Amino acid sequence: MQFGFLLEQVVNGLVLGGYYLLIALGLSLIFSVGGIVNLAHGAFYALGAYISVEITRYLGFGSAVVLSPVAVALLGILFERFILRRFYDADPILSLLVTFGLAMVTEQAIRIIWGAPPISAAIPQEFRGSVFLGDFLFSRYRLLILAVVAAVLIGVWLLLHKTSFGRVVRAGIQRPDMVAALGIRLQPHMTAIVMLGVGMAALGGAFFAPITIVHPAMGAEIITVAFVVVVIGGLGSFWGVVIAALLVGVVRGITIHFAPAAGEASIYVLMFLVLMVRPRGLLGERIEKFE
Amino acid sequence: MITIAAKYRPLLSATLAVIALPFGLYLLGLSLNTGTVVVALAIAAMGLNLCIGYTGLVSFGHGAWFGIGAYAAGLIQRNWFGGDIFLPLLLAAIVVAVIATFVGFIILRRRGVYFSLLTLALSALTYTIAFRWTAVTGGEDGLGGLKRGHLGPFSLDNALNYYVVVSVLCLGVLYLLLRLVRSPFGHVLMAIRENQLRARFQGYPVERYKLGIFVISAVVTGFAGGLIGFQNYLVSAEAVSVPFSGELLAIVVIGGMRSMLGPAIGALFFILFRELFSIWTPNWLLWFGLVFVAFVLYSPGGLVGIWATISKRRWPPPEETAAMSRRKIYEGLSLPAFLRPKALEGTVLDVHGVSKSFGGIRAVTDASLQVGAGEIHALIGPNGAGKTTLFNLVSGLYPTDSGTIKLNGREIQGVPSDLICHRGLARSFQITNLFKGLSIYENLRLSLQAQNSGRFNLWRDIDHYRDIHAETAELIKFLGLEGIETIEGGELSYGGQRLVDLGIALGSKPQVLLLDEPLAGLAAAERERVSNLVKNIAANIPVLIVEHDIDRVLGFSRTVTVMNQGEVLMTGTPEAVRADRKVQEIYTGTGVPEVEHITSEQAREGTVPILRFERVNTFYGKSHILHAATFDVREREIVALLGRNGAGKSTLLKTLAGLVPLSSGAVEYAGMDISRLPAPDIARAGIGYVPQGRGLFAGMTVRENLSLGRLARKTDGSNGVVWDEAQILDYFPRLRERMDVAADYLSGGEQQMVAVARAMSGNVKLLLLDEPFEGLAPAVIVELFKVFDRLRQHISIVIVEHNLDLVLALADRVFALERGAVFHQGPAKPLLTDLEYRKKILWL
Amino acid sequence: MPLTGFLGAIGSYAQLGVKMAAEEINASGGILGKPIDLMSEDSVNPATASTKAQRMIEQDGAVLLFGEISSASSLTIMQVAERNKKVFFSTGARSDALRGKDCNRYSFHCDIPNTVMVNAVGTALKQKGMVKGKKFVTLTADYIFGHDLLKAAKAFFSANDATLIGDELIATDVTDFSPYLLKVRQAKPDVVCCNLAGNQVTNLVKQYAEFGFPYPLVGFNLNTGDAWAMGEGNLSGTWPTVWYHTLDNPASKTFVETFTKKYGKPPENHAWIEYITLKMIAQAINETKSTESDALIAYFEKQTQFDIMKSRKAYFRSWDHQLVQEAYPFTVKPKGEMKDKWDMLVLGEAVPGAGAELESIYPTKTQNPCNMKA
Repeated sequence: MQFGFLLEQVVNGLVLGGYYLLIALGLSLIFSVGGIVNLAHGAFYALGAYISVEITRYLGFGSAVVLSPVAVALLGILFERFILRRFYDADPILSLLVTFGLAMVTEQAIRIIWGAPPISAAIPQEFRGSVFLGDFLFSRYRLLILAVVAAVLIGVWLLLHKTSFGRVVRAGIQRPDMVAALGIRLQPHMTAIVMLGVGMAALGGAFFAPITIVHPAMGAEIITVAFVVVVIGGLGSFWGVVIAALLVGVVRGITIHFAPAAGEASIYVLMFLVLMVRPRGLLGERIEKFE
Repeated sequence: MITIAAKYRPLLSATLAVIALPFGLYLLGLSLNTGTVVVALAIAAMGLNLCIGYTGLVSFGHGAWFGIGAYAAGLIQRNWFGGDIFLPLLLAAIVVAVIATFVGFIILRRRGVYFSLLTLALSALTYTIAFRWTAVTGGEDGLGGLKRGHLGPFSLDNALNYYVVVSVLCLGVLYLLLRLVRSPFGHVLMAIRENQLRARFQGYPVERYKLGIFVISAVVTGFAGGLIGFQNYLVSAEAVSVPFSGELLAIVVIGGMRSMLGPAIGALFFILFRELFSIWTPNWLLWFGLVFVAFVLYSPGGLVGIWATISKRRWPPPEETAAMSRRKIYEGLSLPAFLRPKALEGTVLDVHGVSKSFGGIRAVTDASLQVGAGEIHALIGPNGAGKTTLFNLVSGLYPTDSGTIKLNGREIQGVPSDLICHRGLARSFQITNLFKGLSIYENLRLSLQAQNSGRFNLWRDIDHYRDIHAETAELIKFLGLEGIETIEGGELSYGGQRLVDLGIALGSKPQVLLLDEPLAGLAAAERERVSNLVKNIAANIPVLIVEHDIDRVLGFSRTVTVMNQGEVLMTGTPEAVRADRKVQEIYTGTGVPEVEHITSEQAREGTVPILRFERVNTFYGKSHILHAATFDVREREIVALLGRNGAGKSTLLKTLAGLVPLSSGAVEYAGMDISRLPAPDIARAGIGYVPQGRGLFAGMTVRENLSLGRLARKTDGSNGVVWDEAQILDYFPRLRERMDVAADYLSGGEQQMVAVARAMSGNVKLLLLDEPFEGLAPAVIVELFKVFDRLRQHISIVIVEHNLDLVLALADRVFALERGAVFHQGPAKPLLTDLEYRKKILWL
Repeated sequence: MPLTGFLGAIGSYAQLGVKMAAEEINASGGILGKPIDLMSEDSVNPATASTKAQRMIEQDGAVLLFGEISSASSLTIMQVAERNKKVFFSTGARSDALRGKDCNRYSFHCDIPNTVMVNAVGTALKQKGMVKGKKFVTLTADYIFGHDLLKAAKAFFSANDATLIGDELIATDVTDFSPYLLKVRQAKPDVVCCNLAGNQVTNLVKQYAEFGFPYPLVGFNLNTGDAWAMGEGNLSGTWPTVWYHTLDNPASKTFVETFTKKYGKPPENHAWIEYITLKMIAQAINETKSTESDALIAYFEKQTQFDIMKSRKAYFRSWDHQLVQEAYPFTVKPKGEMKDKWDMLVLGEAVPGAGAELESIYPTKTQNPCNMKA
């Protein structure tokens, strides 16, 4: 039953892909709308995880996964107001450097606040155990995560495509000048996008805290992979990011099955392969500013 | 030319520094081993800076090379050379070079942010390999058991001995790097940093230079990695990690990337910061991160930059006022001999049947022209005629779809731009294109260097090439730039930059020269001088010139090719062109309106202006677009803005809509000053804008596009007219079936209707239309024309349109612009009917 | 001491133990009349550990070094110690190789080596009939400690008629074990054996519980701090330890009481081992009246006996510098019987049993040869 086991690895890869997706989607949105390469995105993911661990302690897991993203999204307002706003029209390399420095600072701040040793979070009692479907077995908690990611994905898609907010954002990606010429201020939308982006990262942090370990460098660990996902998918493409995240997750899952040590490496090799064939990623378009 | 002492001053400083360093560290209570780490990190950072500071390639992944160098040296020592470090270091450098060549080949295909992200991924990849491939690298355990060995009788296990060895190697590397950056190769790197495209058109195979420096940079950093490995007797995956790469980058930024020794100072700063801060806080990285952020935000020049700022304040340099006025101009110089090609005969450049489309839009169709020896060949035509695209095709910026381009009988289509330059075709650019951070002298010297066989030389000092310097001096004299050679390109006025741009092209010793609007933005006297310069050049080098100053260009060219809508309309003498009816029609129309003039004759002299646009100046960077432009719009009238290409009409509309900031002047609209308001506020005040090309949001349906027009503006009609959906369908019935179709699937006419309807979806009192009839079928034009005419009953319209017959029929009054200033204003009617009068005012 | 990474959680316990010992020693007059100046650094990884050790010796004038949990970092510090001729007490590293082929004259080893842990647990497993004829899958930490432990485990399996049907090496930065768990299920073993370290054990056990496999999970290495972090209901099986705070003897009880009062939680085995190590060092310096490396080495090589809060006294074996002491297997308390979150383990009988020589469970000279250069 090689195939059945492979299927489990594929589903497991999808969970992993969902995890990448929560981080990469926000990254991609901020990138598309503001032209900012936010290397500090991982820091918000880490903050989300830490805050959720704190909240779980007092109010339980259910509150944590709601409140932690909200708290981080509020932090996102400050981040947008005092940092990102300076860089919308600047050379993206500058924002790359600044957010890199901020990521470093946040990681150290976490070390000061919560200590350097890793913290373990627990999977809530009600989601422990696994589901059997014939020969197919899977962790209930991971299925929950998959459902949450799917819900978030649908939510974001609806937000972008079925609301006037989303219309402004999509229009702003293409022609910020025309949006302004129709009397629409893009600035508050940008703030909201940053809130949404970092909030999703925090949501990822909250849900994955029980599976992975909560430690100060967790943000730095995820950010590279998240960028790889965005680059594979193509800068500025919603579906590109979705496909890339799932692809990366599955490729990694399958690679681990056959050659565990090469699991991480497979992600980067995949990226270089994709870029050799499609220099702008799977669904990417040419954006002059980033060339 | 500078003296040997000045050239090698960094080497001297570094020598003194490595001698003084142990004493300084001793005073601070730090050990000699710390000194060794500082020196080795300095090497790594200087290596990285070859990429960042010199070539503009911001690498987030140089830790990969540091680590690969260290692992390679360690593995080579463990497996083959027990006690020695020098052979392993050398062989490791070769290993790094081989890997970097391969990797660079892949990731250098991308630039800017993409490149940075790829290097980041490279570092992550190397880390996971180093950490997980336990069998080779030791993984978590690290690669231990390394030996430092001996140098003659000296054991390198002794800290001082090892420090001396590392320091001497560091000085050796520094010497090599100084040679490198002073070589022709090194100077090209800076050109690539400033303007990769220009360097390519100057004849440099940019990719080869980038790959070269990427490999050299990797090798230097990897070499330092090896030294640190032996210093620790151990190599671990930490050396290839992303955080370490980031620290290296921070070292370079903090030290200062614009100088050779800046990164070395950064390395010292980093280690001192770490050693001294970690005494009183384990969280020194927090403070280091803050320092790093502060440097990026406030001192991009790093520590070296701070020093430069301070010393500039203490000892201010003499004021550099009015740069252009300090130059010496020699009248009537003939073209320097070295620039004269061997006697050219017959047709030099033969463009035959060239076509090009971009995503279904035909930019150039079946264009042919010949440029013969000794002639100035003008290429004219209205905006969007395809002139610049044709230049781009000929010079190799884009590949052609079909057709042949021959230079002296050899086909050049499909040849890379740098090779085309070497075959003898050089060009200037419509939007000034030079190396802004380099001196004028260097800008031009680079062109001449590209023609020299030593252009790839990594070793020889540029001063060794006396012939290049002599030629540069002569070129500068010829161009009339003598006396201001040392000024940076970016500091020059716009006109000065245009001249340098031309000079860069001329310095490529071309057989044929393509000049794209060399006179644009020049003051009158300067125009005269540059025109003479072009004539002077053309005596020896044939010139193909695009220029909007038609009077002047027809005055000095021998042959003229007229393009319209991507096609060549005619080629002939200036007289023939001037007399040609079709050409005149392109520029001035037929005098026979396609649409009946429906304007009501009622005079609006008395009505109050709704808009006053007074003495407005607008700049794009250094180029001065609007010169004290002044006009006004009255209630319920249509005002047309006329003028040639580049006269500033579109810029005027954008300035009015708040999309381009004005630098001075006043804009009074409905009794308030809107000149400093942001664009959304202007729109909300009732100014609707329909841009050239319609500016619809692709991928969204018509309905969605329209809804964005209503979203933020008032729709109650309180300040202007507003269309609801019923009215939109009343004006444009054919949109009814199109409401749920994506805007980019509509025909051009429908798109234009949607753009107008969108602009009218909120309260509008003043509508700005930029080329609303462009590219539309006659029936649609009539439909739109009638709509605008009806709108006049309620609102005012400012229209920019090159179809004079149409726009004059529609407009009540006209303002004609030339070089950003209004030179004619008056009623539209006389211009509409009296063709002679129209020609007198508007044409040739 | 590792404070970050997979060993960081137990590293911070160790730091508390040593701090308490230093304060007690200084309160009673210090050593040789001078207070101890204790410097502590996060060793992060082997390279950093060695750099920092080197710096402590030459820049900060450290007279001797002790600490570390990671066998990899410990190895590099041992090399620094040897180069600088300073004594190093490796407190928490368990790899056999450190005592064997990588041993040196300046390094002493306080924790029990891997072989002892395998023997301690193996004995208990054998009694339950979980070894003979059973199929094992191991998940092993991919560094010197894990490799070493796997070697000891393999030797144990082949000596006891068990078969190893799968063995996965897992990098120390892995946090999500699900792909490995799915592979384990595919192999259908009788017993799953965890040879990981630090919070990787915590994580594996938690995720193992999450998937709810029927195969029993055992392991040859677990630190009680990591067991506590798992929370109730995740851990089962038999595991080894070197010390636990419920150990019933007066010295141990006083220590636990003082520690708990001071830090609000009971000491973990690394807190204990750091504490007793510093106490042993203090005793040695006071008795030899010297901080010279040679004098200290000679003192310990006499196989001086130390009270380490266990029923039998311990000593450093002269030929490999291993602290010879009792070890314990433990099992997990059934749910509901725990008084608090630290009260989750039931200690088994000390090994070796009362009759046997202490050294009987330690590797012999031929099993793990150590050649110290003078």
